[in-house]
Amino acid sequence: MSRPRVVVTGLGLVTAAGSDTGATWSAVADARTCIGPIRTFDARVFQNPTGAELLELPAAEREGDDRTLRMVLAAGREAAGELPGRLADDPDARRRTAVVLGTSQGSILGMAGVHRRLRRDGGELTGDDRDAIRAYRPGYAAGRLAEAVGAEGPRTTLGMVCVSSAMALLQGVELLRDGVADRVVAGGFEGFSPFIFTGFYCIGAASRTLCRPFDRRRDGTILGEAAALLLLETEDAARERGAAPLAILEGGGFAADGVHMTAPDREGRGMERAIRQALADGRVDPADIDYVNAHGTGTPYNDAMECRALERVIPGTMPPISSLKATFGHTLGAAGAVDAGVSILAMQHQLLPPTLNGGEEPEVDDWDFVFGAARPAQGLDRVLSTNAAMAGNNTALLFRRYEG
Amino acid sequence: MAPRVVVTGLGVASPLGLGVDAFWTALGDSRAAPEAFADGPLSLIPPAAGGRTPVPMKVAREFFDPRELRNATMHGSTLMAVVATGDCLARAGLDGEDAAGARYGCYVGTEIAYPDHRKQARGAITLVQRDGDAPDGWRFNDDRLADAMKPLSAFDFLRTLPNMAGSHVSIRGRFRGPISTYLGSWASGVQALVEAWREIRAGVADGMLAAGAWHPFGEMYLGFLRRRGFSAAASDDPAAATRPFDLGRQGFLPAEAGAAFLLERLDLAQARGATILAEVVGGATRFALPGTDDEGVRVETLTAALPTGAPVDALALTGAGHGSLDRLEGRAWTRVLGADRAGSIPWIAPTANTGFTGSAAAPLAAVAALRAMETGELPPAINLDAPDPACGPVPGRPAAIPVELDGVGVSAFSPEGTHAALALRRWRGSDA
Repeated sequence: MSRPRVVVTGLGLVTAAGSDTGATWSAVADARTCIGPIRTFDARVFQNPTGAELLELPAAEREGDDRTLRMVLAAGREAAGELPGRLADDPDARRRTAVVLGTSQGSILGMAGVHRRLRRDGGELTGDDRDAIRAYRPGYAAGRLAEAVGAEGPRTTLGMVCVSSAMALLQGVELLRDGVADRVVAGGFEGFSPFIFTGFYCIGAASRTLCRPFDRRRDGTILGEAAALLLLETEDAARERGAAPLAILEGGGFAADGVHMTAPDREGRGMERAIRQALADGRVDPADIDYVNAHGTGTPYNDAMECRALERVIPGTMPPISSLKATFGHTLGAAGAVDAGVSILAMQHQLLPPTLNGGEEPEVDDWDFVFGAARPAQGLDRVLSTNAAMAGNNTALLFRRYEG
Repeated sequence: MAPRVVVTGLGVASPLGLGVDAFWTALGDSRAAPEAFADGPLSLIPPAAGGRTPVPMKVAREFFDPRELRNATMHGSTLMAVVATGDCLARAGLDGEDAAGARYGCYVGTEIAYPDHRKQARGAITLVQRDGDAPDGWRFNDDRLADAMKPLSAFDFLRTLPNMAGSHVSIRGRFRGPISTYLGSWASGVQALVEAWREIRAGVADGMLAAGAWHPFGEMYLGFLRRRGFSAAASDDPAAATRPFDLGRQGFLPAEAGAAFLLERLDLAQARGATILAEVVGGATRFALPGTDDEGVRVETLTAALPTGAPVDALALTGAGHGSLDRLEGRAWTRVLGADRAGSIPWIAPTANTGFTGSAAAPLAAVAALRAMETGELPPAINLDAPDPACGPVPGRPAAIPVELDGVGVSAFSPEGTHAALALRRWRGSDA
């Protein structure tokens, strides 16, 4: 039996550029960084107090919804489009609609408040505390999103740090191919929090200057926040409800380095395995890749590792490669889905997303990292999107422009 | 046709001891591990008792190389998963450099690593203030950020990253294939097993290490468990406090543990001469939304996991020792098997011995069931003096009994609505 083709029929991108896909794409097309001085907390003690924050949050749907929930629900509603209305009167379709989310730290913001109150006031947990702890449990956001879109099928949450949302997309593909669901709202989220910000400084991954992906002067990444969700459907399910596919999710792969607790395999062997798995899964020749949307965090090890992996997998001329981290910051649990969404938009608009802040000293001299500005492209039909997480977790996704 | 998948290794870290042998011996001795916490922060949080699983450095070396995996980067649940993995690989004869490799992966089910360290808490609490006028209800306005950062180290941060459990296990076993960490529910351990089984059947991997691990001993999480009424309010007798399916159950004592399984493609396991402990013949995960028929979804999970005609001679259960959770679990099995059948086969819930181990609870029960399948004897069920008829026809087991198990049903249910089940069958040879 042939496996069903998986198509993307909706995008919901809430990034520091704004609360919808249009605002997000504008930042890419205009080569505009969303990184600026941190405003949500006093970060002056840090050498580089910058980040990519969403300054105007979507409205809360319930009292007490924190910033991450607001972002997730806004992205989910945008990705789902008219789907909730369709599902309202169709219990069978609701049961065959799934939600898969990825995150690194979930709604950690409220937990910080609980810690603070308990240390200050002591005593038992209050109702507010209980709500905050419940929201911090990683399944909570997926439950709220499922309610929002009317999904009553499989629902799960993955915690794989920087590959969380890419893994969520892969999990969504499996649910569709296995026939467990007809459509999946999948992606990830991450809210800006001082805890994570501090953590990245502690582990030495934060840039002291600028985020400069694929430039030899790079010294680290800069954090951002986002919620990014894709509506995945079998092609048949999309056709049945008259939805217009934006792209085909052709294949995916994921692999561990199994090498070190924090640093990637310097030779990128785990990433290479993930890419080769994706190519095999999608039955795609590496020479047919038109553009690589790389993880490109701007940390010395990651960017070098990705280049080592790509040069072994893709023979001959390397297609253009770029990274969005200097545009939206590193959005951790949302990064894979942000990259996936922008990759699809790039094919729609036939425009190569730029890598900002670099170009004078490229990691590989004769490769095209699309430094500086977005660039029109012709025949941009297939994108490889790669992501990697601390401790050696690697993912690769292949998207193709939908032509019917 | 999908390849057959077999279990070739088991590993345990539990309050009953480190390693499958220590666990199994303690079950046979009817030992219960939970103890009262005499001092320290945990003694102030009800129920002030539970099952701790100490891993002294001297002993840890038997399970992992501390030069490679440092305790400092491991949250408690990661440590439980790593120790169980070490035990599992040694027992399976798959230990050593590149023994597994690129076609072997690892999935770990746990819960998010709650920041349970005072230093982490201090870092967070100095930064946040409740402010009803702020757009999202919180205000960051603190000049003491530098002070807050001082006690934090890179290790403190790394411990809280949710992928660390799976990543450490991948490094421990040299697993370079698929990797994931399942979060979000007490069913995540069995969920990891089910997904690992699926990956091998789908041809994505030749072998998978799947584990459930749990470490509840953070102040916030213990407070949450008590506030929601899952854990007991207090306990004068910790050893008798966790009472799965007993009329006298009043919530559990929390405990930390890990249980690991090595799953392999049958032909490869045979080719390397592995001892086959059982075959995985079915698995399913299902999810219930709040307000829906949760018991019905549990029944559906079990039904989907059990292939038609699959023998079920024992149940390996979550057995939380909680009023409604046990009732829902027992009733679901009773609906699937019928009261006569359900009442005539043993129910295995080591939670009574260990305390409740969350994501590791049902995997530990599965380990016990497979040991019973191998040895032909099932240890007594402790803390089950008066089976609760509301849970179904719970069979008591005051003493060890001889068993001949052909099939075992494993269930992991969670209050959030994530449910997972697995069907295991005795291995009788390729043609069976």
